Amino acid sequence: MRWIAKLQSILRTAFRHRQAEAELDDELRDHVEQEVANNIRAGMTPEEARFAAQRLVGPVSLYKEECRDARPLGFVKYSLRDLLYAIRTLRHTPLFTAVAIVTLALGIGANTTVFTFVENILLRSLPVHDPQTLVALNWGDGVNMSYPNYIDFRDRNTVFSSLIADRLIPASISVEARQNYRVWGYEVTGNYFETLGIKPLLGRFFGPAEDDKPGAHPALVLSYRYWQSRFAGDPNVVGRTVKVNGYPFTIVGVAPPSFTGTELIVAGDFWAPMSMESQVEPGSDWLHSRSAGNSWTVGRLKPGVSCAQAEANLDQIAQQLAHAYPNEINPKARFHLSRPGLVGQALRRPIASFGVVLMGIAAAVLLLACINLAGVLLARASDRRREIGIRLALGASRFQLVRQLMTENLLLATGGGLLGYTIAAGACHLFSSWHPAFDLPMNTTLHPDTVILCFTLAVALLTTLLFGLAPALQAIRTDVIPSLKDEPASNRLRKWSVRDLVVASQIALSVILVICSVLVVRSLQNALTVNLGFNPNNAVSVSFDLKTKGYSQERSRRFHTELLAKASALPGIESTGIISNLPLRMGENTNTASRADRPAPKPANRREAIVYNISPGYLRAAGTRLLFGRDVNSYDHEGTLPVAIVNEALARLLFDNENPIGRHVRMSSKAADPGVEIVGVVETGKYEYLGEDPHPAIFLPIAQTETGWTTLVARTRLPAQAATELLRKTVLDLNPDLALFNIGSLKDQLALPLFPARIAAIVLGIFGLLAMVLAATGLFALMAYTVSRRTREIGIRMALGARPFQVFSSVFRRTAILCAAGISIGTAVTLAAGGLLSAVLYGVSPRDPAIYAIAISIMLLVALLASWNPAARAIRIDPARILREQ
Amino acid sequence: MGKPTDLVQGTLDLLILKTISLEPMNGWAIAKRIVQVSNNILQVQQGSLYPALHRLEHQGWIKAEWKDSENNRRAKFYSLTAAGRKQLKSELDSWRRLSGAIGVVIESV
Repeated sequence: MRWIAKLQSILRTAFRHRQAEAELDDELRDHVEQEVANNIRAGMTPEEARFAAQRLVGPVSLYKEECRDARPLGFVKYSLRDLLYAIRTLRHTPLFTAVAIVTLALGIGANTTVFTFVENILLRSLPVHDPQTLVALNWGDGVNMSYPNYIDFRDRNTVFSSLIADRLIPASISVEARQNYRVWGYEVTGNYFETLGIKPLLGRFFGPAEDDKPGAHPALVLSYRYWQSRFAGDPNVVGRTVKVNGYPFTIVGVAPPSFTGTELIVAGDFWAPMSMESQVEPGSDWLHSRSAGNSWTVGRLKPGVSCAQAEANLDQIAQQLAHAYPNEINPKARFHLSRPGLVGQALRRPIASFGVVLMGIAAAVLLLACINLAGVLLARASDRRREIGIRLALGASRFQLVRQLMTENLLLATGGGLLGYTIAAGACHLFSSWHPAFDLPMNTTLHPDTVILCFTLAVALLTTLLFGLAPALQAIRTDVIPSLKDEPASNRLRKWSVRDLVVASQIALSVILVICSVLVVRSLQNALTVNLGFNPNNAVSVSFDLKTKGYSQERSRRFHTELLAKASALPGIESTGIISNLPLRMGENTNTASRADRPAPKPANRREAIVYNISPGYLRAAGTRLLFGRDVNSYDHEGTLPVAIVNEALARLLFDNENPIGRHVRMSSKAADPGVEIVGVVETGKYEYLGEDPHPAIFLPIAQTETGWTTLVARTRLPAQAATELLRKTVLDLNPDLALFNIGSLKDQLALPLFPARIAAIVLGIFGLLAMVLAATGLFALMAYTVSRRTREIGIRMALGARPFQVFSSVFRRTAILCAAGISIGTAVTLAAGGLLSAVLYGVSPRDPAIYAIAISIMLLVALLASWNPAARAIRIDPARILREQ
Repeated sequence: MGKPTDLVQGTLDLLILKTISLEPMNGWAIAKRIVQVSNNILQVQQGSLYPALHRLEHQGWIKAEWKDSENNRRAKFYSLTAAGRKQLKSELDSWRRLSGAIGVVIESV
C-alpha cells in the first residue's frame, strides 16, 4: 500500500498546494501554542511563556522550507520558482539580458553553422546501402585510374566484393531538336547501381549486362532533379529517347531524390554505361588505353577485410601490373583507401583541414563570448552583492543561491542557444540557396537537423558552465555584514583579479582571430592580383563542343577558321582567338612531356604537362605574354611540321637555361616519337588552381590536333554583356544547335578557382570582426567597471593633488599591461599553429611579419578606443562631489 | 542555524516510529514524550521533527489525521501505517543488532 500513500501525497502536493501550506502553518502554530500552554502550566506569565516557547522553537519559516523540501516534487517546484525569479531578474536588466543573449547567440550560431558544414560535408555518408564498407581508391598522389587498369584490379583483387568505376563529365543533352542543355553526369561501370544498393524511383537501372560491349547499350538513367526540371516529373519518361552529345539514348530509369552520384558536393544529372564512352564523348576512345587515367574507383570491402589488408592486396596487383606494363605504371605508387564522396583524398584533405581551422576558430569565438559574458557576470555579481547579502541574511542557503544564479545563466544560455540556432539555420539557408557562378553543379545544401539541434543545446549547456559557474561561486562568497552596509568588497583593487585574466585571454584570442582573418584576406587579394598567365580584364569567352555535334576533324577546322574570321570583324572586338579549354576551368588534359633527344624516362620520372590547343591570335586575345619565338600562325596546319609553344616552366624543366626554340618535345612514351618542335615560349600561368606551383604546359596549334572543345576568347572595349551577346550570336549564326556554356567575362568565370579563398575570406572575416567586437566590449566593460569601483579612490587622489595625467595613466596602465600580455600570447599561439592555415593561404606566409604588425596595430587601436571613454571619465571625476557623497 | 547534531537522521526516524506505535500523537507530544522518556537526555528540535514527520509521511510509513487535542484545539495526529509497523520492526532489529555489537566491542576492551 505504500505506493498508494506516496501517490496520494504526490497528488496532494501537486493539486492541493494551498491546503498543504495551510495545514503546515496550522501544525507549526499548534506546536507553539502547546508549548505556550505547557509553559503557563509550569507557572510562567503568558508573555514569558510565549517568549520562551518562541525562543525554544526557533525560526519557523526555515522549518517550513525544510518540510516543503521533504515533499515529493519539491525540486520541480523550486526549479520553477527559480525560473520565474530568473525571468523577473533578467527582465529588470533588459540591456544586460539582450547583450548576454546576443553575445552567446553569435558564438553558438557560429559553432552551429560550422558544425553543420562539417557534419554535412565531412561526416555525412553517401546515401547508399551500407556506406561504411565503401572505400575510395587513391593511387600514388592521385585518384585516377584507366579503364584497363580498373578491369585488372576488379578481376584480380580478393578484398572487394565489388569494385566500381565512374567518370564525371559534361555533356549536352537534347530532348527536342534545337534545344541543347549542358549538364554534368557520370559514365559508370555496369555493377555501379547494384554495388551501391540503390533502388530506382522509376523504371530500372542498367546492370553489368548492359556494360559488356562498347557502344552496344545506349541506356540512360536520369537524376531526380533533372527529371523534375527538364521533364516536369513526367511519369512516362521511361522509354523516351534523348540525344546525349548527339547520340540517341533510351531513358531506362530515374534515380531517387537523395542520390546524385558518389560525390557529395557534385550533383550529377545522368548516368550512362561506361561502355558507351565513345558515344557519350564523341571522338574519344579510352576504353583500351592503359595510360588514360580518367576514372574514379570505389570498392565495397568484403566483410572482415580491413583497409590495410585491402591496400596490401591492391599494391601487390599494382606490382604485377607494373611488371607487365613498365611504360604505363609507376611501380612506386602505393594505394591508399579513404572515405568516398570527396574525390578520394583529393578534396577531403583540404576540406578537412579547412574544417578543422573553422571549428577551431568558431570554438575560439564561443570561448571569447563566454569569457566576455563571465566578465560581465562578475561585474554584475559585485553589483548584486547587496541583494545576495540580504538573501543570505534571510536564511537562503548557499546552495539555493548557486542554484538560483545558475538558473539565470541557464536561461541566458538557452535563449542564446535558440537564437544561435536560428542564426545558423539562416546562414545555412543562405548558403544552400546560393549557386556559385560556375558550370559544375554544386550540392551546396546544408541542413541543420536534429543532430545539429542537439549539438547546439549541448554547446549552450557547456557555455552555461563556462561562463556562469565562476561568477556564481564568487557571488556566494559574499560576506553578509559588509554587503548590507554597502561597504566596498575589499581593498583588493590593486591586485590582479580573475577579470584581468579574462580580459587578457580575450585579447589573446582576438589577436589570433584577427591575424588569421588578415592573413586570409591578404591571401585573397594576392589571389586576385596573381599573374594568371592571361589577363581576365576586358575579355569575354564562350565555350561549346563541336564533337558532341558530330563534327569531323575537317569540319571542326573549317568552323574554327570561319568563326575567327567573323568574330574578329565584329565591331568593338579588338582581337579573338580559340583555345580548347581555358585554364582554371577544370577538365585539363595532361600528357607526358620529355626531351625528344633523350631516351623516354621511366614512368616514375615522367613529368606531366597540361596540353592546350590554341588558334592563331589566342595568345593576344587572352593577354598571355610571348617571351621568345613566335605565336602559332595559319601555316601551322595538318600538312606542315608539328610545332608547339611551351611555357617557361616546361622550358626550364626540360632544357634548363638552354634556348628551347628549335628543340623537340616528345609527348608520348614511344622512343621512336620524334616529338614536336618548340617555336615559342610563353609566361607561366595558373592552370589547375591558384595556389599551384609553376606547372609545365604545352600549347599546340588547334589545326594540328584533334579536339572539339572550343572556347572563343575575345578582347574587347565593349561592356562584357554586350560583347558576350555578340559572340553568342556569331556562334549560333554558324550553328544554332550548339550548346553554349561558360559564357561571360573571364573575370566572372574566375569564380570557381577563387571559390575556396573567397569562402575562407568571408568566414574568417566575419569571425575576426566578431572577435574584435567581443574583445572591445570586454575591455570597455572592464575599464568602465574598474573606474566606477575606483571612483572614491580617484577622488581622494585628486583631492590630494594628483594631476589628470597621473590619474589617466594609472587607469591606462592596467589596459596597457593586459594588452601587452594578451597580444604576446595571441601572437605566440598563432605563430605556433599558423601552419594549419597554409591549406587555404595563397602567396602569403602564415608567419608574415607585416601581417602580424597590421593585426597587432588593429588590436591596439581597438583597445585604445575601448578604454578611452572610461579613462576619460576617470579624469573628469569631481573630487569634491565624490568625497561629499561617500 | 545548523541542524541539531544530537540525533542522527535514522535514529530520529526510529524514535518517532517507536513513540507513535503506542497511540496516535501530534508533533508536540512526540517531542515531549521523547524528552521525558529519555530523562531529558534526547532533545528533539522542532526544526528536525517536522521535516522528519513529513518525510515519513511521504514515504507512507505514518499517516496523519486532524483531531481535537486535549485542550480542544485541532491538531495533526500521526499514527503508524502497516508499512510503518513493518519498517519499525526492521529498524528495531537492526538497531538492536548494531547497539548490541557496539556494546560487546565496548565492554570487551
